[in-house]
Amino acid sequence: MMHTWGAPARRVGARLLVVAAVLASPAVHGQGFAAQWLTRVTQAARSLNYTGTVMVRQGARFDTFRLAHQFENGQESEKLLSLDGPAREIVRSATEVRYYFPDAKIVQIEPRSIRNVFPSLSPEQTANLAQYYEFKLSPGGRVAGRVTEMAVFEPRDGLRYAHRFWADPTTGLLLKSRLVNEKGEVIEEFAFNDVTVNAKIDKDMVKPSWTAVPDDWKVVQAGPGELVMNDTGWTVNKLPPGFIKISEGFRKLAGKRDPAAHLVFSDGLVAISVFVEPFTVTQTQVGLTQTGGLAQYSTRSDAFRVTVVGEAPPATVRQIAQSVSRKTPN
Amino acid sequence: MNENISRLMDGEVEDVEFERCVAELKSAEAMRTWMCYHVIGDHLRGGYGMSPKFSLSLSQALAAEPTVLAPPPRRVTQPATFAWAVAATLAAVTVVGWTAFSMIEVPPTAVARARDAASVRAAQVKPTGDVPAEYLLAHQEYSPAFAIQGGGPYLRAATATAAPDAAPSAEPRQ
Amino acid sequence: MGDREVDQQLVERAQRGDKHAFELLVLKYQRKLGRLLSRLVRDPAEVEDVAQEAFIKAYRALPSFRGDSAFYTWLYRIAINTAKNYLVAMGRRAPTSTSFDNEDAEGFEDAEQLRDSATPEDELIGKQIAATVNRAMDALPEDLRTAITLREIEGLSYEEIAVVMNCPIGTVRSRIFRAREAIAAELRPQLGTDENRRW
Repeated sequence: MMHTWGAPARRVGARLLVVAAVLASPAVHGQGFAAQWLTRVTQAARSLNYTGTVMVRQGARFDTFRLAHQFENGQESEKLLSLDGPAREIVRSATEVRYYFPDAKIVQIEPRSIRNVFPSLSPEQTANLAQYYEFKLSPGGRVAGRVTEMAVFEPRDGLRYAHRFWADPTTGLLLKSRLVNEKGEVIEEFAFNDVTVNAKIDKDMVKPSWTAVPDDWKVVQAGPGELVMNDTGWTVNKLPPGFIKISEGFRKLAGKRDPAAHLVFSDGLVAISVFVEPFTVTQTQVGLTQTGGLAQYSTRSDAFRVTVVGEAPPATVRQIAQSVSRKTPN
Repeated sequence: MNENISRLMDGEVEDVEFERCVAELKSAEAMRTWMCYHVIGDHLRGGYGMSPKFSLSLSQALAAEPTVLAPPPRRVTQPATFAWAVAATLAAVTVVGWTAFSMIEVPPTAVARARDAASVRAAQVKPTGDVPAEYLLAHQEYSPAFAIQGGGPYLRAATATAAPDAAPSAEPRQ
Repeated sequence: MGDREVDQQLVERAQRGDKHAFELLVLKYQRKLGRLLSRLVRDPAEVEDVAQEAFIKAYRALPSFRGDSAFYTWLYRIAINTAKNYLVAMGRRAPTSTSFDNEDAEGFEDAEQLRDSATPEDELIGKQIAATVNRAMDALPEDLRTAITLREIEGLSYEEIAVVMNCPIGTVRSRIFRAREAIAAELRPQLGTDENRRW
């Protein structure tokens, strides 16, 4: 029997309905649906209060963190605490992200303006999403003890990864995600081992363990500079289909003196950045690097160093990097 | 009595009742109820079952342990250092063997210097390491995964820019 | 008092020499820890070996626990480090390996049922327990089932549940207790009092 109790009660009622409903078979949905689903899950991650234990797996290595997230008065606060490996504490507030490395006595500070990607997907991006990924929704089994629905984004070409997301159907909170390559290998996986949604969050759960940085610590300002929107004069000749440019300009990169051109392309689900800077011999070597699902490829182009970064297969990132050139005047 | 066990496990007891409730738990039957109620909760959340041998084996091992006696803990509101006190009792070092995933020195310019090469190397098929921090940091705010996973992708940045190992220190707060 | 404060009080009692208080914490967290460890160590028998080692290490390390973090955060940390050291000692998961598991291989899966245990008998018991809990839940009157669901799965406090269910806190307390007792009545015979179990 349903009373008009308010938000928590609606959640309970909705949850009971979800339990009763049957998602028997994968359903294929229209092109707006995938974008809507992503938006909902994004909003949930931002606007709910929750705590939990998170495991991140990248190939053979894994990391475990305690996580606490709060949304109050329209603002997000979040803290991640490493449970193994080198001690790390990441604290996110409305204006910055701080990385504390207590073993090394270093704190890294990044000014951060949260860019909300999904609600601002343009109609073109939404169409690309549907055109280049097949979207399927089906029951996802249990994650962190909760029944989930699984959303699969299967790429229609070999230039992208497959994305799988498991979310709590009632609250929309993402509980697990995976990046899978064309060989069916899991490149990266993120999952809650246990989670408490609508948890009561105490202030100290989302604030740094240090009210002031100790004197013997080193403070590193590590953020990239603000982007100055501009036509940079660079272009990508061999962009994978479905990617459109969503940002372009110059910015200062962390630890570097000269501003770099930064172009960003998106297919609706994945973003790829192209950086162009003056080439200097003291820079890191060209070639491929990878951190979990993120691949980076750098190459030299005359007096410039071109770097491409994105959640895409290395071959895709390399192809893009090798096709970056000066724009030819029309 | 069992209702007190139910309240105690939910933390819904006043301070003054706590001692009495714990005292009631000393009987074998009460312990069984404590465990039984927890088994219920764990299974509702998709629990993992331990075999019957586990409880027996562990309780025997615990019984054999010298009783721990510690001075009353100082309730510290702001830790002076972020110490991993347990590291003293753990045999192997967490860092050894895991250097592959965490050892890029901060700040990024130090990374560049460390990897300095005079000549341009041919394109590699296999990754040579982690994505350099300066690109990762500039890119991640545009990444949809970033938006959808909340704090998850920050873990990449923390993994990539984790500072070198140092002597272990105190516990974190959470 | 709060769930976390109860843990803290139990830890302090254990630090003062009350082993029984530590056993209460073990009973509370052993399955949660088991599931966490099963992500890292596949074999259930090994999971239990590592879990036992972790609990003993935690007990020995009690003097160094200062209460700055939640007990379970501290316990999880010990457990994961124990598991990783174990893996390294067994020569598994070479850290420089970049190989990826196939998608079909178990990732961070949640097993609905107990995994294959050391003996077929153990597996059977595990499945029976899950079945009993589910069956007993289904048989509960709706208000009891809602109350225990809100508490155990949604993690709401009694006060919050009272708001959601629009009833006094005393009623919430009673409903949760009665739900537990009703399920426990079915479960206790299975958990048994034979010699294989301490409790």
